[in-house]
Amino acid sequence: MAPLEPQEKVLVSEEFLESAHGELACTDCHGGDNSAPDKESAHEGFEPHPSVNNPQETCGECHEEIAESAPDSLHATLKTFPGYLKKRSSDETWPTIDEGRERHCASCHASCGACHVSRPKYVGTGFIDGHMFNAKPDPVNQCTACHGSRIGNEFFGNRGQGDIHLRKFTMTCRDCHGAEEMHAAAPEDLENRYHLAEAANCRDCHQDLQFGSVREHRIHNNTVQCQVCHSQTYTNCYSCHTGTDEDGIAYFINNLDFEDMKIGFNPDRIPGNNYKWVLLRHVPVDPHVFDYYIKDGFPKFDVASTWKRTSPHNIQRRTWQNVNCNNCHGQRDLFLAESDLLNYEIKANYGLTVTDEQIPKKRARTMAVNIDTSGVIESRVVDVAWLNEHLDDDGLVIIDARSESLWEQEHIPGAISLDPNNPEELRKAATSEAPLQLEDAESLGEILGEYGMSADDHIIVYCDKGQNGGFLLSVLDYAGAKNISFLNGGIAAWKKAGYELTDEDTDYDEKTFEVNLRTELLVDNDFVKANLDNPNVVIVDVRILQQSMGFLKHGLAARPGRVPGSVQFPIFGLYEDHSGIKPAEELLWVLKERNIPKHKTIVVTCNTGMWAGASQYIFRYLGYPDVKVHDESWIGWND
Amino acid sequence: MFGKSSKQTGLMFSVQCVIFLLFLVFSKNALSDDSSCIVCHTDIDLLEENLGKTKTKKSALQAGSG
Repeated sequence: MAPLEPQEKVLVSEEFLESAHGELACTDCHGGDNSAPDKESAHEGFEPHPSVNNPQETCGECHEEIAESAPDSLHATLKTFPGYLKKRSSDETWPTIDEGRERHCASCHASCGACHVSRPKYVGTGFIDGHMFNAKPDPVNQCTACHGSRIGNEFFGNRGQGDIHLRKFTMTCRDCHGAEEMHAAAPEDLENRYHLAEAANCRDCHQDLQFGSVREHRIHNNTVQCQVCHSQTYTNCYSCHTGTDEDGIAYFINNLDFEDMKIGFNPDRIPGNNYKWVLLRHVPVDPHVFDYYIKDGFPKFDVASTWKRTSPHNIQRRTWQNVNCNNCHGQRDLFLAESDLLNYEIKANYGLTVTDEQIPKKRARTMAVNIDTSGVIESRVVDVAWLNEHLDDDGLVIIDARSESLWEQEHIPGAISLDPNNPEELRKAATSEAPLQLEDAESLGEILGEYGMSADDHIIVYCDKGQNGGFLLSVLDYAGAKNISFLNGGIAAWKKAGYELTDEDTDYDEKTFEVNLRTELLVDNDFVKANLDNPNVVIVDVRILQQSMGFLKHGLAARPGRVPGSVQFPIFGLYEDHSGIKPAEELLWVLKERNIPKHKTIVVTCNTGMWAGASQYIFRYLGYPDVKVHDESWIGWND
Repeated sequence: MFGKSSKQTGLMFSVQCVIFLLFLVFSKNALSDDSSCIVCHTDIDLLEENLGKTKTKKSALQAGSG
């Protein structure tokens, strides 16, 4: 989230002055001197965040009950977090660990104002609505400003397809997590946030599970956590380390995170949540998190698990693992194995892992999921083992589609750097009459040739997230390249496999790229407008849900919104973190489930055409015969 | 005699109360609408002139999900 400018942060609106809170004098809450002639003296004794330091005397004047309990809420205290660190420490090491925790891990405290007036301190503060007090916190600028890397990304489709509660029912955070939960004082000895009596629970709404019409609910009720069947993959974090930079600013580095899903035995069986099976997430704790402050600070590291019960916010009614019993039963990879644990955490996770014998057995009779994968063009995606074997093949060109600075640090030997995100290369300037639209055929041919490619080469593209590589491949496809492939898993998979990396320059010669445009792959606004009501055309918006639902807009777009009638399917439902691609069978099922069928014409749209291109590449890999990129996309949509 | 005097005193008291309440209401508004705080904090140009650039409080070394 880009920080607000200083003047934007403190600009008070007329609307606020006319509101109930606007009738109070500024000094009533903030102190200072409102009759002073200059800025300095006016701010003497000024309290910028009155609800942090003095909630009872400010907010509590009217909201007495809330001001009494909220200072002890989990949002205000993060109470359960130090509990786990303390458990792992000793009496001698805890004071130092606690000091480090306070510096590095406690910046997420939230006050009344951080949920009702301003952006939280963690993201730089600043009024979100001219100092208006909003009873319902803003899901983008407030809730997920802090709960962003996991909850926000999953909920809004920055990882996976997003959450059905949002997409289908426009539900946001407050619809499940009400004021009662947010303002509740957490008991001193609260074990974890799930133990809070007021915590949200799926069953608060979904109450008919035991006796309802869904057979699977009746079978799994009280045994399997809802998310086991209804979540998509989520992120796991490893090996957080803390330190202080040259300017004295505290930081943390989370050395590894990856998208996955693991089912394990419930480490935290309590009444109301007494499931046998739950989803487990690796938390970033590491024996050496606070080595910067104290060595061997966690002599009792094993007393708490490093895999915790999790509740991803990326729910779908139907998921790949619940569409068929045997997509879960008998699937070794879905269940946490002892081999998934690192040496230092085996004891810490005792009782959570699942042996081969403990995995629920495959069912003999199930409803088959018939997905035809015969149309998948396998050559369009290669894995790292294949590339490692073919590095020296004649006619093979490897393109690194990450930023040039990342390429300079390390790259696959022989890779040429071409960042397609640079609009001066393949797309017209953002300030041009056709902002960020593809260059004409002649320019494309010149640029691709300049970077050592010909239309007859076998061109392998890799990156780190998927979108850059996929977009470049869609441009190559459009320009007429004959043999192109995406490196599944990108640089992360290459590293994980232990293959060679280099920081040396790559020698290559310019070539002639003979452009033979596949014009059927690109369409303009006129085509989209003419087909808005065409039942044989599906317009797919692959932006994140924040944008396609109108919470946020791209900087170049005139307004928030989306093309009428478009299907919302975020690109991250196609590309995993670190540019992995899920099995074709699963992707084809998901797309069919979302009413994006193969036999129709698919028009992919986004903000600038880039994510649309990257998505088009996956659709074509899956064998979709007619997929077009909306070149103008939302920033050029003028209807 | 006693009753009339009491009635006049009561009326006077009511009038004084109304005046006092009006004073409270207007003085309150004066505090918020016309205070030096509001003069600056509703004028984006004035704020821009008087405030520095945003400084990031996060370290460039910070990386990864929390």
